[in-house]
Amino acid sequence: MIKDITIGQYFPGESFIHKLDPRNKFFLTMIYMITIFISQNLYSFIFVILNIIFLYKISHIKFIMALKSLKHIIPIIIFTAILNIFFIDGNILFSFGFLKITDMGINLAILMSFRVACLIISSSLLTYTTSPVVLSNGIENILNPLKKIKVPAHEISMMMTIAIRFIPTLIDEADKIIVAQKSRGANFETGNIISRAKAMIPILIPLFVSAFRRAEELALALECRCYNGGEGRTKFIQLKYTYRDFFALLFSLLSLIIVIFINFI
Amino acid sequence: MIRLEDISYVYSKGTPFEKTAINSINFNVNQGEFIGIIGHTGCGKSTLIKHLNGTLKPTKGKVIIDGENIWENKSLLLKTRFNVGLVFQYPEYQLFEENVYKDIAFGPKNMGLSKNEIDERIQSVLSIVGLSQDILNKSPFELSGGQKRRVAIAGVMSMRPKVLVLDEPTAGLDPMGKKLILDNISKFHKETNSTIIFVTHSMEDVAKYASKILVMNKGKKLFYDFTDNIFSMFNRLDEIGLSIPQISRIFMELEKKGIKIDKSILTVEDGVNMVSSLLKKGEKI
Repeated sequence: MIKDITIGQYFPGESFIHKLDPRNKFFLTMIYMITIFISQNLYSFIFVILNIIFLYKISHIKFIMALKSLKHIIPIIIFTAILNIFFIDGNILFSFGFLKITDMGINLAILMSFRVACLIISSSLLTYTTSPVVLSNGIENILNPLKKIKVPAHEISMMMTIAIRFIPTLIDEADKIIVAQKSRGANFETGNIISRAKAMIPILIPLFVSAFRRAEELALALECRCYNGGEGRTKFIQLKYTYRDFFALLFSLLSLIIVIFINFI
Repeated sequence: MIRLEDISYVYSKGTPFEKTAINSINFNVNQGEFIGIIGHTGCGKSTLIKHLNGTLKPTKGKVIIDGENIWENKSLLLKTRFNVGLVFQYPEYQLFEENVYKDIAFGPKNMGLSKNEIDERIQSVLSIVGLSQDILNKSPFELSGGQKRRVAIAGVMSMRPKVLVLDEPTAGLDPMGKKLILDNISKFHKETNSTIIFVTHSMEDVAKYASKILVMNKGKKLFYDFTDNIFSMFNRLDEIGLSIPQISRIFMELEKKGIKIDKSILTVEDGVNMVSSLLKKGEKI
């Protein structure tokens, strides 16, 4: 079932990482992305992976679960790997017609798959440990300076909050509709591409109808509570940097520097 | 006909949201029965009925239909979907076609029936759910809530399932629409001699329509017997907070006062009969 996809879900908790400031978590995620992308050899990768496992440990989120959620993106990883294998120049190992496999290609393919996997696992930690509301609050805060050049920071974050909020609802709804149409004998699993695409119609139409209905109800509910945008609005959750954020920043910068050093080995 | 053996189901296994919805349930349904399932919100009623046509695979246990375990081979599973028709909560949200005719025909078409056969089935199902001919050309989205609901139920009935399972078919309808739908279902039951299983919150509905009742509490089977025998359970039902019919409550109180009442009083008619027979015997009420 689609319900089993855990990417982007939030798991409530009280850990060190849960308590970090969302703005800081964004920067930390970026630092980790950079770290992952500059790691080039086996040792630096081992270091990065151990580092990520450590982060999962202290956030009380099962690392195995993150690994399992990877299985949905295996196609993407395989795709990047294949692209790299065939299109990178180097010493040719095999060749069939215009396709050739090079040692550099294989090297890079492995590297890239590792990077993509690590990237997804590490950035998943952001959504695993941050509630959507806090997350978009953080985004609004980061975008705040841009309000001077008329970027609608509040509206953007509000839209994000609503969009994220409704993902599980729509997944639930889609699940229900799929089951209902299956009970009427609809067949989604067999047939060619065209007949499979056609089989999606009984799911998509009811889903769209209900999405519009929900949007309308939500708009009405917002209006009933006198919502009129970000102007003069105060926040219930005040964001504050604490010593924790300082530690976390220090730790991730340190990891980055260590990886840079290991790369020279 | 349908036998559930020691069924358990766990949602989101292996994540922090893991939750056991139903726990070792044994349940037996015979041909032609009219069964009401009752219980609190979240007690696993909906989860249970999703096992009946193989939309959910039990974490533990067997689903046996006509003597065969439906999870043993794939072709059996598809056949089960046609034999056991499931109407979900708020079925009107599954309507999608451009007109009512096509929507009702969706199920029969998937069964691979001929056009004549489909026509004939739609006509018979229309008369069962009490909708008029001219509705067939309308878009399902321009109907009223009650009509949509009946069209959706007709969509499942038109597949002529041997067992029709309905999850709260009357939720969110006014008393008129509620009665209409339950009467439709009862009519379908009588005309086709099919088995009906329906989930509800209302003991009144169960008392009026069902011959057997399954009471669930916290994912477990609490009681499964003929509706007439439910009387013995009333105190227990009261304890877990399921409302029992007003008329039954009156007779419970009467019994406490020392008047001998020897059968379940579930409907007002039962009550009237009981009172008149008591009066005949010369009891003072």
